[in-house]
Amino acid sequence: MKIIITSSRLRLPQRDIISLLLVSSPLNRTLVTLPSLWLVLDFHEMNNAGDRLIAALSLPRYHNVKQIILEFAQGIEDKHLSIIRSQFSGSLKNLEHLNLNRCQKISDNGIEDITKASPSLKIFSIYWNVRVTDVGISHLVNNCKHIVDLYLSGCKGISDKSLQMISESYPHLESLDITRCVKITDGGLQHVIVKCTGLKNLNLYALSSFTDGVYKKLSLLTELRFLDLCGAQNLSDEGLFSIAKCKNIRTLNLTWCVRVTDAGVIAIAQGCTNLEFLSLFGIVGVTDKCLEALSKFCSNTRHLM
Amino acid sequence: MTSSKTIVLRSSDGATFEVDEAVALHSLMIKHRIETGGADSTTIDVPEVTGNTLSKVIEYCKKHVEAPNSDDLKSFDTDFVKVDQAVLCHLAKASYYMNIKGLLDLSSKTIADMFKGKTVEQIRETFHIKNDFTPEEEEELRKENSWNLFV
Repeated sequence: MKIIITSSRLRLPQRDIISLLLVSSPLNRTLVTLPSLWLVLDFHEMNNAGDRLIAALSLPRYHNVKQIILEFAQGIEDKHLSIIRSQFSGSLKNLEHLNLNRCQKISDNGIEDITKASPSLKIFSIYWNVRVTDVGISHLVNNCKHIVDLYLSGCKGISDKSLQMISESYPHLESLDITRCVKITDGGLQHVIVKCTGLKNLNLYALSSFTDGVYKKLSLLTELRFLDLCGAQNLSDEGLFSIAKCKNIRTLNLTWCVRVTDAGVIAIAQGCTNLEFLSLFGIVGVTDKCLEALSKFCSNTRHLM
Repeated sequence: MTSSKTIVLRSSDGATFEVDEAVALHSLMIKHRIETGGADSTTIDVPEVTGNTLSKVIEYCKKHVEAPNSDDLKSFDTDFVKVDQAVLCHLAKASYYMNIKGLLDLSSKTIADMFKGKTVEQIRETFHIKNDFTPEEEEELRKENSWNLFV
């Protein structure tokens, strides 16, 4: 009976599936042999997360884990990642998605250990960590050759050097979030734009030092669907004329892009006909004129601020 | 092979049910049997399912085949699974054997929701499952998995 139930795509929270393991031995035997139940380890917001992760990885059923979530977890430090690398590397060979968001104690050393143990990593997220530097990124690019989505929001320690390494190692990168990585300049971003031409999602939120020099290069990203330029105070209509060539953009955030005027937005309206979400919040230089253009050219626009 | 308009389904306990072929085809298992069967494909045995359960399965298929776009389909489904746990398990088992994805998903999800947030003891009670672990084995398992619990 239970065999039927468990083979039918149960989607239970981690805690409930583990409760089921303790119910009876036939149920236990059935569940541990269902690989799909043991692909995710979720410790978000839990304390003692490092110890918990080590305890879980010591169990054979987690030896093919694909996703580890440590977002806002406490008690996860470099020392735990070092233990994991030395004792449980075998368990992480299939790890594809690692979420270390807000794990503020992790440094470049921890990154070295965990990336060394996870060569199959595709999605790496480590937002709001100010200890990570270009050294940590160098470990990532050396150890993980298949990164597709990279989220580094708030990692203020990284510089143009990181973007250069990223662009050279990940030509097929699809998502990049460098929100608030304030050390990055036009030069760094340009590396990515030129080499990662398949980029679909680019988040440049709260980065105010870029200039039109690099914004104009955005037209090279023909696959771009999501572009967040909130706070891009140097972005002018010139930059938007180029961005208008990215025909696949669905979401464009121009909040506080104070130099933009109707001319730029009209160009976007004419070029980005698949636009669904546009924010012009905080821009005094736009008038109803551009709204007319938007309604004329962008029939899909659902949200306009 | 000419397809007949109605099909007879026979349960494990010999109960027979005459249904429109279109309704019967909602079960991919029956569809396969009909397509690969010979001249006697008008009566199909379903030995894995009792009459009571088969009757309910047919009710589900009828509704989903005859009125797939009706507004009350969702409320039909919600009411359909307001049955006791044993019937629910029989429905899940039957939909698995008869390969009826919609009913399998519906009944499994309902059963899964019955597990949510329950302690091990509560799960045993709800589903009448005997605890066959020795106290030592159970203690070992709890220790092994204690990393999972919020303290």
